[in-house]
This record gives sequence, C-alpha cells and structure tokens, in this order.
Amino acid sequence: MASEGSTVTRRYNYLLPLLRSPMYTIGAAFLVFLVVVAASNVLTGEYTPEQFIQQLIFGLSQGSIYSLIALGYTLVYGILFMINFAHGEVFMAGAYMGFFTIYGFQQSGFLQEHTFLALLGTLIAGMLASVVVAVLLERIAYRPLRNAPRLVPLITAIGASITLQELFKLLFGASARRFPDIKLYVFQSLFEGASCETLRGETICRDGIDIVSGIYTINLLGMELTIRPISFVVFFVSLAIMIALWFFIQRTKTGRAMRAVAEDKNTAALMGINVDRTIVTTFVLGALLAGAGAVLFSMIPGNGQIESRMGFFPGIKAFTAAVIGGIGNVPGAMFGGLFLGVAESVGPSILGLSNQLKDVVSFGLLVLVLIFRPTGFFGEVLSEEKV
Amino acid sequence: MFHKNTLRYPFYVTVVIVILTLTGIFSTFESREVLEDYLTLATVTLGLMIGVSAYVTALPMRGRLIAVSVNSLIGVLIPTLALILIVVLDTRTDLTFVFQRLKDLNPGTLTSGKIVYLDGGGLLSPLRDLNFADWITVPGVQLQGFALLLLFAVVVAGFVIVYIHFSRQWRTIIFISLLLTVVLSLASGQLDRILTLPDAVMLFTVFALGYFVAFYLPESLWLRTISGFSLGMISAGALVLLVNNGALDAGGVLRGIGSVPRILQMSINGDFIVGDLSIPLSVFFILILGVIGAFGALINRAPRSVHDASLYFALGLLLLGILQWGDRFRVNDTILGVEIIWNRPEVGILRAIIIFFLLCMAMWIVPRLSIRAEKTFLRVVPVQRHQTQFIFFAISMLVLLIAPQFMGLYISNVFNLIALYTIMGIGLNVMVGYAGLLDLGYVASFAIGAYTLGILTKPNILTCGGADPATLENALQTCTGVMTFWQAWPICVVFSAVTGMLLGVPVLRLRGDYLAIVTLGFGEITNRIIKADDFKPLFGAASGITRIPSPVIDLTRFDEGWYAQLNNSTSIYYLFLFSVLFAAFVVYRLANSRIGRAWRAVKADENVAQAMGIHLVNTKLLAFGVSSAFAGLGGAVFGASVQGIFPDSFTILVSINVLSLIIIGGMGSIPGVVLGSMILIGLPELLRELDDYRLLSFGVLLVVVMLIKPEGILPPSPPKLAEKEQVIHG
Amino acid sequence: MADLLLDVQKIQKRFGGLIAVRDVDLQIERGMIASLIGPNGAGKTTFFNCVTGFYVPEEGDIVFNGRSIRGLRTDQIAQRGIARTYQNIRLFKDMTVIENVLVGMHIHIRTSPLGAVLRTPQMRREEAVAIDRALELLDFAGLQGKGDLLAGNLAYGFQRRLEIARALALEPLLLLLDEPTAGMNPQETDEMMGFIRRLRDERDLTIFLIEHDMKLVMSISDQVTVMDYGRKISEGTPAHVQRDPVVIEAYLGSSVMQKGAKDGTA
Repeated sequence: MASEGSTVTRRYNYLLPLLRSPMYTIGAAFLVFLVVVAASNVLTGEYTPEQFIQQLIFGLSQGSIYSLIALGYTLVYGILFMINFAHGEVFMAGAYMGFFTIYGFQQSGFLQEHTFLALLGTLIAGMLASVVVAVLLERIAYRPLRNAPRLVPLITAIGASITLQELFKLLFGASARRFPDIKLYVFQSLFEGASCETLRGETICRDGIDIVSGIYTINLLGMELTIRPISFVVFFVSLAIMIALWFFIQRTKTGRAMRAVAEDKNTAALMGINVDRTIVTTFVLGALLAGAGAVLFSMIPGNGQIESRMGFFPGIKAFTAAVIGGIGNVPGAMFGGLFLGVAESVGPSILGLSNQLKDVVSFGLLVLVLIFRPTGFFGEVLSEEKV
Repeated sequence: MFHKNTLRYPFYVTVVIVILTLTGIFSTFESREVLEDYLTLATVTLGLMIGVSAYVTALPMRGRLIAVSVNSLIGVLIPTLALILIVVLDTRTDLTFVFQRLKDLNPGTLTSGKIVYLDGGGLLSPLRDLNFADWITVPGVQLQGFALLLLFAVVVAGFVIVYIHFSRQWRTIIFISLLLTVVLSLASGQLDRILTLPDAVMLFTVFALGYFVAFYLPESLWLRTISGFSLGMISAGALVLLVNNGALDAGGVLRGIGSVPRILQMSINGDFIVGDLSIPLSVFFILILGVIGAFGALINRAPRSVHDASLYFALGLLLLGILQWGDRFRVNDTILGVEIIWNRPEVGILRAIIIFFLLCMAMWIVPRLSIRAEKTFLRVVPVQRHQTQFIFFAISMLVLLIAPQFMGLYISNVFNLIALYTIMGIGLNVMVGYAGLLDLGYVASFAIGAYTLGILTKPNILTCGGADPATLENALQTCTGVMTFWQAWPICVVFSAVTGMLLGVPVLRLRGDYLAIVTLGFGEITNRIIKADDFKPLFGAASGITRIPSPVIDLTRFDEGWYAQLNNSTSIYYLFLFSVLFAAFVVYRLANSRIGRAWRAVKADENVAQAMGIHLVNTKLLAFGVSSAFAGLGGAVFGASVQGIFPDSFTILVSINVLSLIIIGGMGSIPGVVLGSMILIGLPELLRELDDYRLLSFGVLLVVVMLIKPEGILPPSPPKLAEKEQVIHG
Repeated sequence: MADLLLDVQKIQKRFGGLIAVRDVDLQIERGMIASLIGPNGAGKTTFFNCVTGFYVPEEGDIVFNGRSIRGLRTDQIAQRGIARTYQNIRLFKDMTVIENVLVGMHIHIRTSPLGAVLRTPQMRREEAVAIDRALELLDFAGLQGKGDLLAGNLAYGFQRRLEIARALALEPLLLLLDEPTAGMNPQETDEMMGFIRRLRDERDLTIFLIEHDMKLVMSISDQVTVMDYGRKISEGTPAHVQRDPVVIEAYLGSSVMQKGAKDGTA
C-alpha cells in the first residue's frame, strides 16, 4: 500500500494560477484605468484646482477623525491581536453623550454664554461615555475569552456590536438627532465685522470668525475658495490629541507597560506588569480617542446625524485606515486616516462618479491595499503566529 | 442568612431591568395578551425578570427555607424599587427627551395612580378595586399602583421559593414548559388554523398506539412495520364507520367543539380522480393512518435524535389541535347532549394549563423512552439500521410534501422563510462552521443571486442586446436574452460562486479578522451599488426590479394538465423544499469527504493542516465558492418567490441573521442550522409584535452563546468511521 | 558515496536583529536516525521550521531527495515527502482520532469535489481503502479501538502517538520529530524509543529528531548534531559528540538552566 508514497502527484491545484499574478495584473490594470480617468478629468477641466483644494481641506478634517478611530483599532490590535468590532459603537456612544451634554448646555444657556467651555465639556463627556462602554465591553465580552480559539472572540465582538447598536436604538429612539447650531467667534479684534448673515433680508455682521458653523469665501492666488474654519479646528484638535497620545505611549510608565505587553504578555507579567490593567488602559485610550472623534464628527455641520448605526461606516473606514497604515502601527494609523479621508473626498469627483459611491471608493482602496501591500505602508511583516 | 452575592446578583439583574425598562419594553409588550383578559406579556416579562433576580439570589441558600425566603424577597424587592424610582423620576422630570420610547409608556398615567406595567386588564386588575389610594396617598401622587407592584413582587417571590425546592431536572422542565406555553399562547393567532382537535387527537392516538404496541413485539423490522400499519388501518376503519354514522355532523362526537376536522372528513366524501381512475378518498385516509401507525411502531427503535424529534413532533400536532380548540371555541355548544356555556378567556386559561402539563409530561417521559429506543437501535444489525433510516427519511419526505395542504398561506410563508435561511445557513456554514472563515458579507452573494435572476428573466439593457426596452416597440422580438427561471438559476449560482471566490483571493492570505471586516464592507458596498443611480438601467436603483416572472412547471408535452405556475407561497414551497434538500445533500456529502476533513483541519490549525500537504488557498477558495453558490441559489429562489427585489431586502441584517442562526444552532452541523433558523427566523415571524427586540436578542445571544456554549445548541456529532468499518469487517 | 536524503547547505535565518540559525550545514542519509540537540534557544525548532517551509531561510539551500525545496510552500514540501510532529502537540482536537489520520492521507486521496458529492464508486473505494489504512496505522501506533474518540480527549502519551501516526499517513520519506518524549516519564520514554526504532526498521523511514533526553539520543541515533546559539558546534556519532569538549562546555555552561526549564514545562 505504501508503494505510491514517493510519487505524490500534485492535484487540485487548478485554482492556483488564478492567484497571485493575475490578481496583481487586474489590480494594476484597474489602477492604471483610475489614473487615466482622473488625468483626463483634470486635463479637460472637468476637475478644477479650486475643487481640489476645498476637497483636500475637507478630506483632511474628515481623515483626522478617521485617524482618531483608527488608533483605537490599532492600539487594541497591537496588544490583543484582535479587531475590536464594536469600536464603531464606542464611537457612537461618545456621539450620543456629546449630544445630550451639549443639548443640556443649550437648554441651560451655558452654551450661548461660554461656548468654548461648553464645547470642551461636551468633548470630555463624549470621551467619558466612550470609555465607559469600552471598559464594560472589555470586561464582559472580551476578557473571559482571551485564550479561546480565534473565531470565538471575533463572534463575541460582532455580537457585542449588534447589542450596543440595538440597545442604543431602543433606548434613545430610532430618529436621528443633531447637534444644535453653535456659533463660536474668535479673533474678534483681528476680523472686525467679518461674519455676516442675512436673516429676512437684513444683514447683520459680527466681529471675528465663526469657527464652528461659519462658511467663508476667500480669494487666494486668483482662486475663489469656499472654506469652513471647522475643518481646520477639527484637524488641529485631532492632531493635538494624537500628539498627546504619542507622548503618552513613548514617555510614560504606563505607555512602556503597554508596549511591553504588546511584545510578549507572559514576559511582561513576569516583569511585574499588571497585564489586565494594561489591556484595560489600552481600551480606555482607544475609547478616549474615539469619543473625541465622535464629538468632533458630530460638530461638523452637515455631518452629524446621531443615530445608532452611525458608527458602522466610520468604523469600517477607520479600519481601512488602520490597514493602510499597517495595523498595529500607531503613526501608520494616523497617516492612514488622513490618506483615506483625502482619497475619499477627492476620489469620487476626480473620477467623475456620483457622491453616492464615495464609500465604494474607500472600500476599493482597501482591497487594492490588501492586494499590493497587505501589511500597509508602515507595517512590518504580519507575524504569522509563531510556529 | 445572607451570602456574599445577596446584594450583587439583584443589582446586576436590576441594571438589566432598568435598561430594558428605559427602552420601553413594557409598553411594547403591554398590548400583547398572553391570556385574553387576564395576562399581558408585560406582566409575564416583569414576573420573569424579577423572578430571575430572586432565583439567582436565593439559589445558593437552597435547602434552608428561611434563608431562601429572605433572599428571594431581597431579589424581587431591589429591582421593584428601582422600577418605582424610575416611575417617580419620570413624573418629576421629562425623561422622554432622552429615552424616546418611554413616551409611549407613560402617557400621564402615573399621576392617576395606575402603573402601566400591570395595567390593561392584567393579572392583578381585580386588586385595583380595593382602593389602596385611601391610605397611601402622598400629596400629588397616588401610590396605589406602587402597592400593586410590590404585592406582585411578593407573589413572584413566593413562586420562586416554591420553585427552588424542586429537583434540578424538574426546575428545567417547568421553566421550559412555562416558556413554551407562553410562546404558544402568543403565537396561537397564527397557528390555530392548521389542525383541528379531533384530527390531532386521532393522529396522535394512532401514532401512540403503534408506538406502544411495538414495545411488546420482537425486534423484527417488518413485523413491527406491519403491525403498526395494520393497527393504523384498523383504527381508520373504525373511524370510517363512526363518521358514516353521523359522528361528524353538528353535535356529533367527533365534530365536538370547533370547526370541521379536515382529515377526518376525508373518510366520508369525495373521490380522487386521475385520468379515468377514481379512487375514494377514504382509501387514502386508511392508508395515511396505516403509515402513521407504522411510523409509531418503527420510531421506538430509531436513533435517539430521530426518536426524540418524532415524539416532539407528534406532541406538537396535538398541541396545534388544542390551540385550535381554544381559539375556535364556541361560547355554547352541546357535547353529548349536555349544553356547555364557557367564556373564551376561561377557555384560554384552561388551554394554557393543559398545554403546560402536556409539555411537562412529555419532557419528563421522552428522555426515558429515548434511552430505551437507543438501546434497541444499537442491538439491531447495521443493514436493518440503514433500512430503518431510509424508511424514516421516506416518511418525513411524505410529511413535508403534504404539509402545505394544511399550513395555509401564512404559515407556508413562514416555512418558506425558514427554508430560505436554512439554504443560506447551510451555505455559510461551509465557510464559518467548517473552514473557520468568518464571512460577514454573505448578503452580497445573496444579492448577486437575486439580481442576476432579476436581470436575466426581465427585459433590460443586458437581455435586449444593449437597447433600452422601454423605447423598443418590438421588445419581445429584440429581447432574446430573456430567460426562464429554470435557465437562469444555474447562472445565478455559478455567478455568485465566482464573485465570492474573486473576493476571497485578496484576503485569503491574511488573518481571519481581515476577512471578516473586508466581507462586511463588501456586503455594504454591494448594497450601495445596487442602490446607486449610476447603475439604474440594470439594477433599478431604489425601485429595484419588479415583476420577476414566477417559475413555471410546464410538462404539457407529456400531459395536458401538467402545468403549474409557482406563484403563491404554498406552491413555491416545493421549490424551497427542493433547494434545501439539495443544499443539505451537497454539503453533507462534501463535509464527509476528504474535502470536508481538509476544511475542518484548516479551521483547527492552518499551519499544521498545511504541513499535512493541504493547499490552503485552494481549500479556502472552494469553501468560498460553495458557500457563495448556495447564497446565490437562495437569492434566485427568493427573487422568484417574492417577484420583486429591492435594495432594502439586501442589507447587513441578512448577514447577521444567517450568521446568528448558524452560530446559535451549532457551527458545522446541518440539523443545527435547521433548528437555528426555526428559532431565529420562524419564531420571530410568529411573534411579530416583538420585532423591535429581535436584533437585540440576536446580539445578546451571540455573546452569551460564545461565553457559555461556543459549540451551539446542536453541535455536530463526530462521524463513527472506525466503528462502521469494524462492523462491516466483523 | 552515501545516499543523501536531506542536504542542508549553509542556511541562515534571522528575525530582525537576531540570527536564529547561522550557516548551518547538515546531511542526513537514507535510513538513518539523526538527532539534533542543543540547549534551549539554540535554534533547533527554527531549523526544523526552515526544513518544513514554515520559514524561508535567507541564505543557503535545502536539497531534499535530489531537488531543492527552498522557498517551496509547506504543503508542497509535505508532498515531496517530509512530515513532522510538534514540540507542543498540535492535533486537530475537535476531530476524531481516525479523522486526524485521514487528514494526513489528504494528498493520497484523489476525490474531486464533484466526486465527493456524487459519491462515485471510485470515491467510495478510495475512502474505504483510506479508512483501512488509517486503522492499520492506528494499530501500529498502539491506538487500536480509539479511532472514534475525539483527539482532544486522548491521554497525553496517546496524543503523541497519534501525532506520529498522522505524520506517517503522509507516507513520508523523512519524519521530523520535535521532542517526541517531552513530558513523558522514563517508562513512556523507553516505549517511545522502541517505537521510533520500529518506525525506521518496519517502515523504512529516515528519522530526524530534536530531543533533550540524552539517554534516548545517544542510544538510538546514528548521527548527532549539536547546535548552540544558532550555530552547529559539533557533529558525528554519539560517542564522538559525547567526548567533544565544545559540546561539554556548551552543556555544562547551561545545564542548570536546562534543568530548570525542563521542570517548568513538565
């Protein structure tokens, strides 16, 4: 019976040729096609530089929010090697809390009087709500399963995500909510009478720039640009938060503990690091960023529908961002988010597609990245589990 | 007296109860009556919740009556007080801005002293007349409702104290029976037209007769079959005599109370005509009862699962009859010359009690009988075991084939839905259950199947050779690409399989989590694309593709009369049934071959499987292909059955439903999928009002199942390969 | 000239800055029992992983049965005739014992998906033959009557044997055993030693093992290779290696840790 042992035939390999090279070819052809379409749109003047700059600014602000969420994925992935599927819901929780807080401030008049403080309070409240949800999630759904087969925590995470979505829908109602109108004027001495509004045929001008809901048209190098200051605010606030995170991870004892646990849980435990606490800290950090992202996201006028499924798409996109940057890699997630934000904002119109397909663009980007560079731009070789 | 969790457990339960209360669960459930005029679902839910709290609190003290009593009182009081707190809070401030659904709950009822939880003619409605308000009024608020609530809590605590002293087995039996009784009462509106009580009793009796007679017969397959068969025929003969003597007439014994029994009626009138042949229906009647008798006789030497399933099925028939009796009950009727006057609500209570006791009995006795049957089964020679299994298979096919005759449109619709999800569940199981690849975008393949069917069977740009059919005058001549359902479905299946595999290629080399999220995105993107106006000529954007032709079975070339259009739920049922069987057959065969073993090996440990010479990518791609193919099949059948497909039918909810049902039913197990789709798809269809909480419970179930029983309710049983081989050799 | 089955030529494998295997040369002749020993962390398992294709060495070549296998995928290498077991047993725990062995026969069964669905006579015949062979292998490994148990439910010693039976099902030319007696008591170790001999004598296998139990290594090996810090430091017959001062140095230097580590894992 053992006679045919040495002449093993290779069978059932008929699918193999489909694999690497054709996929590369298809992907490359697709890329070339995209470039050609984009170039022709630019050359024929279908796509103007004004459009580009406006979309770039918008994309950067949107992208910085993706970065904030993506960092949550990346941090948790780096330490537990699992994708926290419910992270989109952590984001959603922050948005809800932010909404109720700012609504409360508005009702009490605090928002109108101390707008800046109110916004800060809202930001903090949103971050706290996200933290609470994330910590509960870790404690109830993930910790008991830390050593289970890989599929198990993944399914739990999905279950938790559905549970949170539905719970929020049932608790707070299915109707979408919105942040109230906020006006925050800054640089009042610099820009006198710069913000004008026309109400019932009557134009009123105020000093300063409204950095939340204002829209301004400026002339730059002969280009007429419509710009929302909120984009810059969101971008820079996000950047500040991310830099703070970077310092936390690099410079503090807790940050070092996190890196140690990410490297090797057992050794870290032997070194006297409380692994459980470090993991919770990671979730907390991720949630803080997501909560901040959620409040910023909801603040952008025209963006902020707060409803129970709002975390889904930002979640998927942030994941895409994390993958683009190389999952598990902190600067990578920051970069990936910005890149995705810009691509998604510029992509549809430069390709001449309708804006309905903007999510398709970011998904296509994810697939392309996975084909050509599955480890992302900054990622090391994905360590196949140690053999 | 106390234990370290005396306060902690009720606190946990209270948190859950408070959250659910804030979702407005009680107002949703209040409109639903479990027992007409007596008990609403809200009351049952409240009782269940605080009952659970009392139970977990008191359980550690089991055996010490006083400690149990104290603990269960604490267990009920903490959540009850929390509820009172919410109500008070709601009267002081407006919570409905935050908790929107609370608005429905409290339209100002609280100040009048009533509490919604117990309102609406609930269990305690008589107590309201006692006018507590006289002695417990504080300025502004009447506390009558609170007193009722507290009293209710104490009563529940009393129940728990008694319940906790039953043995573990009986506690399980009582709990499940209670739950099922509630479910049956809730679903009775949908289930009460299927079978009349006399029919049900007749079927059950003949089955039981065959079953118990076979106890005393030697273990010969044929002897048992024949005895069971003849017993059934004898009973049938007796019934024919009875019926022909007027037992079915109004006031007759068999007519009893309720509507005319359909099966029994077969024994008197009508002929079945095929061509020139005319057979009296009573012949069929006698044959059917014979088969049922034989079935009963055979079942007591069946493998355990088949045995139990059959017994519970028989019980189910009996319960259907009882449900029908309760709902079709006439206020006054004459039974055997005695005039009986009852009110419907009282009949409802009686019915619930009967159902509860039947369920308790069945759950106590079936496991005992089942051990016996298993022993007998293991004693018979393998050849006869195969024969037995074949006979069971044939009989269950027969039951499935005639079932739509009794189910009516609504129930067959539910069945079709269950079947659809079973097809998809079987398909997704290949990926998740066997190969361990988590696919969250299963809806994409489903949509591809359905839209491919829609496009191929309708005139549009593709099938009309690039021309817009609306502008064509001779659309019928130009649109030569239009296919019939039968031509189109293989294309749907193949096309979904191919797209599924193409999606798999870039992600298969990566970790499972990537696959999950990329497929999730793919599902959503598919939805976006079919919704987008950019592709309107093909997919119809938001208005979908309508008026897809129903499948037509046209065999007129053999016989003039052989023409059927499968255009309603009882006829398309057969298409669903066939597809389920086909899917189950293919997957069963694959799973029990070298390919199935390779899948499971890959799931267990990729690296080791690869070191065993398994080509990972091919193996996984095959799983992708098979899985997507069945989603495509499901999509095609779905498209043909609803005749109109819209983007809104293809959302991520479909993926979640399918995933939940296979995980809860049991990953990698075909019976698990069937059970899963019955529980997760069928049950919610029967309990429509609870739809709001459906997804929430899926999510919670996913987490709980993973934490407690990751293999699901019906995990696959390992094949007995070694033993089989030895038996053949030995 | 000896009949070389495996010829590893100066391979090197690094992880980041760490060089786990450095310029290792190793030849195994057909029909030999060869051993690889060395202190913990010497790179032995990494070396195995290079041979079986889990890792691709950056430098050097691996020639098996006359052809280079460097850079081939693990499954291709398995098809060429190299089977292995693992230091920490890696069975398919949710599958039955016989199914584990049948997975090992995967490459010897030809059934296509279509054949499996239609259950063609050829497929049934093949399956019956496979089950027969699997049962025979289980008998050989001392697992008779346990075929339908779940692999995860077997006692430790039986799991080791099952892992070997599963590897044998591949019908390999070369069998790599990674610490086959780890966690066994002296009596079980003796049994395992006899079993390994039978593998070579009755099944015409070439065996290459990593082992810590010196008694076992010295008594059954035809050739012993010693690694330390990723390098090969000595090679030859058991007697030669035992006398080699470099080896004694390496072992004495780390014997205390060695003992501690063993106790820790047992």
